[in-house]
Parts: sequence; C-alpha cells; structure tokens
Amino acid sequence: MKGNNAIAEAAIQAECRFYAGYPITPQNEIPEYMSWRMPEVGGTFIQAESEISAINMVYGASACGARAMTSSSSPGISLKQEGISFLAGAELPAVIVNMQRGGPGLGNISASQADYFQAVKGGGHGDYKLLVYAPYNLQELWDLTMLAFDKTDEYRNPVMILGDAILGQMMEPFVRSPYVKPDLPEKTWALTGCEGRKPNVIKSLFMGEGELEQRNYMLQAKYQKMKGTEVRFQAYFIDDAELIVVAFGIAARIAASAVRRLRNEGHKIGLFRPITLFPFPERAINEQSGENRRFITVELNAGQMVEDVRLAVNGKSEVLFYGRPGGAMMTPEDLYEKLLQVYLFKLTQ
Amino acid sequence: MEKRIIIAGSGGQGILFLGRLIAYSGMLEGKDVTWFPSYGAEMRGGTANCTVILSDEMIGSPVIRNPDLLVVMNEASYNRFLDRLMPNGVLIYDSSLIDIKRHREDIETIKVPASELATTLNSTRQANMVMMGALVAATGILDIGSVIRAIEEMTSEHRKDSIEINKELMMLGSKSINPFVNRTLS
Repeated sequence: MKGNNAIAEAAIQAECRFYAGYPITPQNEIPEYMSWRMPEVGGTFIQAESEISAINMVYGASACGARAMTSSSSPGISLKQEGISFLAGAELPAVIVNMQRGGPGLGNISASQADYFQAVKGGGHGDYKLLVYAPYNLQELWDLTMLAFDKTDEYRNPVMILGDAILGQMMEPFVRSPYVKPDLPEKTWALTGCEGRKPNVIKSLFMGEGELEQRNYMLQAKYQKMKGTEVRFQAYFIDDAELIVVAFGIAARIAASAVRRLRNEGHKIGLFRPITLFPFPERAINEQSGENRRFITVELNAGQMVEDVRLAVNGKSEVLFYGRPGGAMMTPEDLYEKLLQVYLFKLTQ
Repeated sequence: MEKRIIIAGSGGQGILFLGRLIAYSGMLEGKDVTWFPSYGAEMRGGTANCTVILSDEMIGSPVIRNPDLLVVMNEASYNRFLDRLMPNGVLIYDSSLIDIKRHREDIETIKVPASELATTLNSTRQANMVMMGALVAATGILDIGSVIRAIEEMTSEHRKDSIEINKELMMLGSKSINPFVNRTLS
C-alpha cells in the first residue's frame, strides 16, 4: 500500500473513529481510504466543504471524546492554522497529517519540507507547540501514526505527522505491527452529556483576571515535559564522523544513500536524523558538537531546521546548509557530490 | 547490490502496474524494494512513469536520477529518459511503438516487439506483460517463479481468469530474447 494508505489504516487500527478532510494532492489517498474504511468500523468520515470546516469538525469530535484526525497538504494546512491554535488552546487531542508539497502559495505537487517552521514554531497565533513527528519510511508512517494518537491523548495537545509527497505516494514493504493501547486516563473532561455531573466546558477564551496567563504557564509546562521525555532521533556512523549530516523525513533517506556511499569510500561522514521535530533533539546534537566536527543540514527547503541545529550547537561547531527549495527534487547523486565537496574542502585547508 | 529501474510509457499501458509487479516480485525474493510513481496531474493518454529499486540492503532514496535499467513503451519516454540511463545500463523498449532515431553506444539495447506480440493473443493492452517476460529473461534480476507468484497474489479475486493469459504473454516476451545475450545485470 502507498504511504498515505498506511497512515489511514494505522489511524483506524489506533481507534481513530472520526475523520474530516478536504481533497488536495498529494494526500488524496487518505480521505479516499477513510471514505470506505471508516464506515466499516462504525466511524465517521466527512468530506468537508473546506479545510477550515474540517479542522473545526475535528475540534468538535475531539471535544466529545473521539479519537479524531484530519489530513491535508501544505496550502490546506495553512488554512487549518486557526483551528489548530484553538485545539491547542482548548487542550484538545487531534492528529493532523501534513503531506507537504511545494510552496509558497499553491506551489506544485512535488515533495517539499518547507513547512518545517510552520509545524514546529506554532503556525497559528499564540504561544503553543505541536508534538511533531517526521517519519522517513512506511514503517514509521505506520508506527508513528499509532503513537501520535496515544501521545495526543496523553498530553491533550494536537500532534502533527509531517510527511511529504514522496512518502505519501511511494510503496515499500513494512510490518503491520499490531496496535497496543497504553493505559491512558479517562477523558473525564469530554462533552458526553452532563446528566448527574457538573457540565464540562471546553474553550480557549480566558477573560478572567490572570486566567489566561495561568493557562499559558500550564501549556508551557506541558511543552517542557515533552522536551524531557518525547525526544526521538536516530544516529548513524557518527562516533568518528568529522562531518555530520542532519536531516529529517525524506531528506534523511536521500542523505542515507549518499552517506553510506561516502562511508564505503572511507570518508568519515555520519547522519543524525531527528524523528521528533518538536521537541527537537537539541541536547543530543549539542553533545555531538565540538571543534573537530562540522555539521551540514540537508533539507528540501531554503534552510529552516538549520536554525535549530545552530541553536543546539551553540557555536561549538560550524553548521552548513544544503537544500533544494520548494518542490524541486534532490537526488542521492546530487547530494553525494555536494557532501564530498564539503568534506574534502576541509581536509585540504 | 542495488538495481534501479525506471519504467515509462503512456497512461493506460500498465506502466505503474509493471513497476508494482517488479517491486512485489522483489519483495517475495526477500529484497528491500521501493516503488515511486509519477502522480497528480496525470491522465489517460498522458505520460506515466515510475521508479522501482530492488536492493539487498536498506534503500535510501526511492527517487533517483540515473537508473541501471530503463524500460520504455513510447517514444516520448525514450527521448526523455535515454540520457539518464547509466553507462553500461540496459535499455528495453517496445520496438512496435518506438522508432529509434538516436542511439547510445555505451548501453545494451534490447528491442522487444511487445505490442505486436501481445496482439497475437488479442491482448494489445497487456503489452506490459510481454515486457515483463522479456525483462526477466534479458536481465535475470528476478526469478520467473517469483513473478508468477506475484501476479497470482496481486490479482484480485474476480480477475483470477486473467492470470493464465498474463503468463502466456510473459512467455512470449521471454522467448523473444536471445538466450545468448549477456546478462549484464544479473
């Protein structure tokens, strides 16, 4: 099955029972799959009249306690930003999938990673964060989608799966690992009918004296907790590496090909792959930095994650960037040549 | 070893299916495989192509520039992808549909009159299966047994009667290949 279908079926397995979305390439397989699969499991599929209504339908379903999801691609995700901010403010769980395409504007339908900033720095208004997963193969699309539904409930905070057109469209074998639901607290806050109990209120408007500030401190405490416990990353060949490539998602896959080839030729190059983009693995990167090491971030954009790598390194290593902007494809051959150039330049200095 | 394949032709020729069949057969042989299609603004009568990678180890990028094997089923695809084929690569083309005007000396070129052969079985639209048979015979990158198993597993229940004709079409493609040709990809 295609990557998009893997996400959709993983969501079903993880007991997602509400999906609302609006079509856009290159993620159309998700709503298409949900349109026949949701009724099979007694869930609800809605093709909304717009992305904005889809995200607000997810808000409603989530408020009632359902595991809810929406998906779109870059321009559609921009439209959802108001709703995402409201979800975060109201502390509602939701899984939002962004299979990125080229931007800005309508851009094109090719793969891109230019929504990194939007995903990790807020995107909508207000001081909020999403937990952001960046899968790089179909196995991770499957596993991280399931995990996203658990984490969004655990933190009562929206979680984003940040994929891209290639991951969505490609096929490769993966193991359909079964979903095992962890122990999660009852959703006592949900709007389930208040007969015999005090009414629950779900809102993001806090006009009382000091009320909003308190809310914000509480949200920030949640994000701090995520920074402590939710960081995920993978490192390959970095122990003796003189040059460490930092890349996520599909760029990490392209980089893996190039790095492996360079390693086989005896060059001391490694790869560091953040799996969570928020919380960013800043401590792990900082621990790897030092005078005899250089970093190069590789992204399908004009340079976004590179800023977070520079912050993490905090001046201890040089941090370079190589990327292709929105909607242009980078091949392992291009990257191999670029990395070799960067690596050898240092040696001849 | 990693084998990178680009398959290209017109929409409706079964280009994407041919790619999936190669990938699925590779998976049955325990290889790591990826399949990546052209997608989106495509339509019947337009162009279609896909990239398939078969490998003994984890595959990095599913998108590549230079394939080791190029399978083309129309002239536009021939012109578009010919220069991207690796030196010493293998080109397999449907010679019933493509009139080659430009040659490359540094590759092995295998002509298969796939559409004509398919027409002899009243299956012009399944010329892709003739190409599959020729590809297996000419390159040896897959075992014919795994391809047949893949066809059986990929064919939906109500289409099971198409399996036999697909096997026959593959046989036609296979027989069209000179058994003494160098199997450079095997």
